Amino acid sequence: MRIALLEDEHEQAQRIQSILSDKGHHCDSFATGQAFLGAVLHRSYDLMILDWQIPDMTGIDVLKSVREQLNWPIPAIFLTQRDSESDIVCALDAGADDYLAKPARAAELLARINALARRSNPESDKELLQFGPFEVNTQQRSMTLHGEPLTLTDKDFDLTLFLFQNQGRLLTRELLLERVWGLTKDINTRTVDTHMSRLRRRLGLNPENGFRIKTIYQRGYRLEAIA
Amino acid sequence: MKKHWLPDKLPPWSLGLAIFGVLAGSYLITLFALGYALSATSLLALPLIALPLAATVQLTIVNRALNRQLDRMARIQTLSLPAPSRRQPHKLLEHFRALLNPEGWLLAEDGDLLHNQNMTLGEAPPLPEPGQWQHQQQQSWIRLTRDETNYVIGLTLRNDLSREVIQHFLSRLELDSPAQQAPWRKPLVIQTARLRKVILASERLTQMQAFINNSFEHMPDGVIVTDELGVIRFANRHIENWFREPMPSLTGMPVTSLLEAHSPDSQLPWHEIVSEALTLKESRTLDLTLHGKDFLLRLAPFILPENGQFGIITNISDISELRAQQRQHREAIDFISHDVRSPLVSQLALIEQLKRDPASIDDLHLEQLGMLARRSYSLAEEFVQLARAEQLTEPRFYECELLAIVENARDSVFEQAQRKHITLQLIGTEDLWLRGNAELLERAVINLLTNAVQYSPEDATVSIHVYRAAHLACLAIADEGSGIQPEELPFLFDRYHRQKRSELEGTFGAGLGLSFVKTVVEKHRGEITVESLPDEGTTFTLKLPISDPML
Repeated sequence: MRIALLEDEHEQAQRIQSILSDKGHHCDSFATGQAFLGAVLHRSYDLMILDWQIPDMTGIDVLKSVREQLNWPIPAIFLTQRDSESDIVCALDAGADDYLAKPARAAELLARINALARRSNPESDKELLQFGPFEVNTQQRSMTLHGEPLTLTDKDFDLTLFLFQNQGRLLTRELLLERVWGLTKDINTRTVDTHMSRLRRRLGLNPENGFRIKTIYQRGYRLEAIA
Repeated sequence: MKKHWLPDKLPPWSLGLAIFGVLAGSYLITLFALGYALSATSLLALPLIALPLAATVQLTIVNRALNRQLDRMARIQTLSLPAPSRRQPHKLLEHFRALLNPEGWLLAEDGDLLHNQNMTLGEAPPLPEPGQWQHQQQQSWIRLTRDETNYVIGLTLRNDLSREVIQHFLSRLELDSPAQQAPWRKPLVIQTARLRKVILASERLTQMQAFINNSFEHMPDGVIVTDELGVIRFANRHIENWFREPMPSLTGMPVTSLLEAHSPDSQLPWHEIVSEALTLKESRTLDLTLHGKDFLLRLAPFILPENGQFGIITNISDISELRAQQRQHREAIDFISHDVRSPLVSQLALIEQLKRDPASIDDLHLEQLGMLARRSYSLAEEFVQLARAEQLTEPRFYECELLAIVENARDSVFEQAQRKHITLQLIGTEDLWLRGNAELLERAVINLLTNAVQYSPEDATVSIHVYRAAHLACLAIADEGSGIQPEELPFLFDRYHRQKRSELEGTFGAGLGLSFVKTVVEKHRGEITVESLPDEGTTFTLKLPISDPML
């Protein structure tokens, strides 16, 4: 993948570049918003990673400019100084697809990139899908955990499959509502939250079974596989 | 008692005239009745005429002097709050705008728009009753009558949490002018103008006194007024509360005795301070500690210009909160200068050493450097977290669910627990909704769980109960660790307090983890308690109010 990185701290930039090139990605790093914008708007990249604080403008402004001027929704990951709700909300509102708290850990960074890359070319529809101890039969619309069948409603099945297929990706409540409930209207957000809680308990989507549902409060969820 | 049945105006000499009239009348009646005894009664005539005349003249003089005094009293500026119902609507709107900073407003007179911003007359609801607010969502409307003119005032309030409170406040105000009073009924008893003035003047004096007393009583500070000998002549109820002295024993007590009895260890003897204020007429500001609270005491001499009387007025302010903040500040600086600096200093020292002998660098050194850096990093993190918890305010709360928060926290600590083969057993089935900040609550639960895992032996179980108790959402986290020493318990949530054993066991933490938990819980109007038995384990219980299901 061709990745554009906006990071003014040289050590940080070098670290991220080396993590990415180890996995066969190509990463160009830029220290200022202007340089970054010039490159992203004129060369073709598959994904961008932006730092929050850079000398000439804020990462948010850079992201907004890209979203306005580029004719396709290039995946964007934000590097936030800390895991703070307000920063995350701000970044997501500006059009980021995901965020990563600094200092970024290699495994996390790669997982986020892979999750976003998968979106462009989703896995072909195989009949049997294996996710850790969970096995999904897409034809029969059934699921087993450690070989034991799980009883699921249609909605539960859709939601679970959607989560498994988007592992590592931040799924907003709105997206879940739209994809699983087929609603775009702003219905009570408790519905999603309550459903999600029930589902994780019923399925056992917890670290004991190799998964963890990370809640990004007021925003959405991310299903993470535990190494 | 209402005294408005007084006649409108009577000349000052009317009383004298009335007395004279009565006396002269009775004299003439006597003359008629005793018509034949003219010569005998003429002897009586002189005193009968002269006495009333002399009395009348005397009364008139007294009357005039009294009237002058009364007029002067009537001219004294009244010290009371003018009722809003007297104010003109444009003034009212001006005052509302200054006080409430509304997003929009409107003023109309008999259906003509005078000013408006972001509001139109068309939006106004029917306003049948003058002086009654009509609230519709953000907008509040009222119709007022002044001199038979109808005014409409509209306000668009900000749509935040204070809106309802402001609307309630508005509804309680009496804004419409009171109904026209019935015309004066002729009083049965003839009232002199002077009597009316006396009544009015005394009413005013009473009002003024009540106003001054009330203002003194409700002052945010404590006030003591002494006479020229430093004897307390007046004190408000803060003084009563702070010094824990009942009011009757306060008045008449020398102020030095009061201060010496309650704050004996001042920098200078109190009698010196007080007598200097009286003799040299100098103001002073001093610190005062009363029953564990910090106060600032200011003494200022005063003189009454009319009669040269003087004394001291003392103002006492509660500055405990300010002092506590200063203490926190100092503690934070101590913390930074020691706990934050020391791992950094060690890192620098280690790097220096490795620079001198680069060949000796091995994994162990890097591991050591990494550990020191992680410690610095986690201290900085704890510090930032605590600062964020302290800035948490209710307007930023939202609906969140405790069981899900606890599940998230448990999942976060899972790997750490697994390394020590510790089981995290979550017991709870009920969704408990509350208003709060889920992110910080999760962080708080993670802190408690991390502690529990840290202090538990290998293969132990940490049990996590989530349950409802009446209107409270509860969480109890129990470990099977060695327990906390009873003498440590009172300081457990104190800032920068590090448990002795954590130092001994080599685990980090500046003691900010638990202060963070406590701060978050308190910001959610909840409470946290801890029970611990040595060698049996520790249980932290957290109780948070459940949000009203109707909201």
